[in-house]
Amino acid sequence: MLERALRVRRKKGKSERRRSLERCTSSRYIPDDLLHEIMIRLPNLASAVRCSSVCKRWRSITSRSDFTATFMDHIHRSEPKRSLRLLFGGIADKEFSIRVVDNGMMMQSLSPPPPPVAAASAVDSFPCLFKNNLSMTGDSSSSSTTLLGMCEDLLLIKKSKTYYVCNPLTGQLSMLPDPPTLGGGLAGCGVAVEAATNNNKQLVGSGSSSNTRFRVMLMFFPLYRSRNQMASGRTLFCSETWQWTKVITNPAIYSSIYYEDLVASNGLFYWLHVGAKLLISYDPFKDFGDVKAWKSFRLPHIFLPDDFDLLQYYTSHLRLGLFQGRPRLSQLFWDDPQYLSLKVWDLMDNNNIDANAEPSPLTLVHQTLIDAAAATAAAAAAASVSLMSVSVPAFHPIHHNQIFMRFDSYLYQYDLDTKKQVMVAEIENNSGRWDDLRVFPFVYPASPTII
Amino acid sequence: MSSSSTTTTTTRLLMLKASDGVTFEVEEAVATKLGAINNMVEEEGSEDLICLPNVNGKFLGMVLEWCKKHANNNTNSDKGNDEVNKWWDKEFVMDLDQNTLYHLLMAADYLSGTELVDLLTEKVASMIRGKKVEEIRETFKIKSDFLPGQEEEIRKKNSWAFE
Repeated sequence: MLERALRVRRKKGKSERRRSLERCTSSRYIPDDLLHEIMIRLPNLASAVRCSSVCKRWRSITSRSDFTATFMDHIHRSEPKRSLRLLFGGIADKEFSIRVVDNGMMMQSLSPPPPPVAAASAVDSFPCLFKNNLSMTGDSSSSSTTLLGMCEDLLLIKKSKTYYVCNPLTGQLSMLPDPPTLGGGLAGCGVAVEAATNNNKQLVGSGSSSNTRFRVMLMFFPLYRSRNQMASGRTLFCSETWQWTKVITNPAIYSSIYYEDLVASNGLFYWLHVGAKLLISYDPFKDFGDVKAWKSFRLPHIFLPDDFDLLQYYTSHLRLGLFQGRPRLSQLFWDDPQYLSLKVWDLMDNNNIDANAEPSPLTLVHQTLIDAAAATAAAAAAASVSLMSVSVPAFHPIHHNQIFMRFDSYLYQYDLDTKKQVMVAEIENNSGRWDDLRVFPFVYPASPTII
Repeated sequence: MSSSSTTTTTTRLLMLKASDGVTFEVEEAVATKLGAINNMVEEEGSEDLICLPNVNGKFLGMVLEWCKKHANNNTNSDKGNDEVNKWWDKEFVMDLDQNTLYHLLMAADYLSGTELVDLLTEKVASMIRGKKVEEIRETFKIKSDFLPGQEEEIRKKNSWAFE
């Protein structure tokens, strides 16, 4: 009886809405709740904001205080199984063809790996952005688009010789002016978003929107290899001035000789300086020349030889990434013929630390042996297992125990505690080498960054 | 012939009457893809004739056509059927003119056909996608009702979205 009454009332509600429709001049008057459903299905936030200037009623939809939240929810819902997306990029203009398996977060034992089901790459992951915008700019030739860096939901992308910063959620795409040439090839690069303030949380289509500031940093190899080269070879792009500026370097920090992982979190850049055995943090939002912008942390006792020529070999088995917004470092090495040893350190506190502090502010959080033979067997790899065929391309940004490991051309999500792994992607490239592969775990933010 | 009639007796048939008097005889499993009809069937189990005074026969027919496809394809839950449904949905909305799309959307919403509403709102969104404000107004025949300067203000405040 109650149910029936409810239904009747619902019907009445509908017919009242209907009557109100007839008052409208347009015969195609879509009710507000349906219009809202339509708007949250737009490919990005910019598209929805543009709708807010169509007419007053459309504006009233996007101005609802919960619009951005429901919009983000809907993007989530289309990918119900994934808490994060893995974006693949590189350090060079190499194209990786990547097949991503459905990442159902089911940890399985080693064999057999599930077959890859769908093709995806950094470019494929957000087709709305890249197909519409990036392919229109510049030449239509198939020059590769490489993902070079990521901070929150901002991506740093290079297509041909041009750098872009874009946000696939808002649909913004900014072409940066050509950077100055400060040396040889790129030795590291990244994008940093200003640390979140309350100003950043804004309502779409209402209120004044203050755009989030960002920085892009490029580090170049010195033209002549010299261990103590003083030239900084770093340039910083500033979103307010829209210009590149040479970074005045702390004299203690020489230019990079190896490709350095550069990560950004809470408005700071972090990178490893292998030569000086330091983890460096730099605040690009501070005034130029402010010595307080720089901090350096002594690396833990990781096995780095003093022999200069050997360094490069070890460097490739170091990884700097982020875990819950804090820098995380890993090193892989052979312990005995069968086992790989993996160590993981987290930077616990980056305040008030003396660079020479003992012990290192980087705390060992994981130490584990990986049965390389079993792992590579699962990857159906060749019988000969070399250290070069294994790497840690990224850490899980949220789960403490989970990292991503590459065995030859297969990428696994690996649990350090249970030692179980699940294959998430298969990578191919023409050269058959995957050392240059970079993996960026993209976590959907509560509200997108508007630049 | 007789065998086919015996198979149909196992499924109940419902009569749906549209606003213009057109009636449709559909299997219960098809019609209950629509939440509103499902509710009615559960509440008024004995009645086989359901009047839908808010839906025109033409659009009710289209909605039922969609239900039929999805009810049939859902019976065996293969992964391949998902693909078939997707392909069929794409065909279904491809050549809809705006008038039909509007009436279908209203009918689907009235009948609580959640999946169909999803498909149709997605289709409308695709018509907005990538368009400039003026183009959106033209597409949907909307006149700006902003006061002078108001629109400029919105654009100024959200300049990032209009670049």
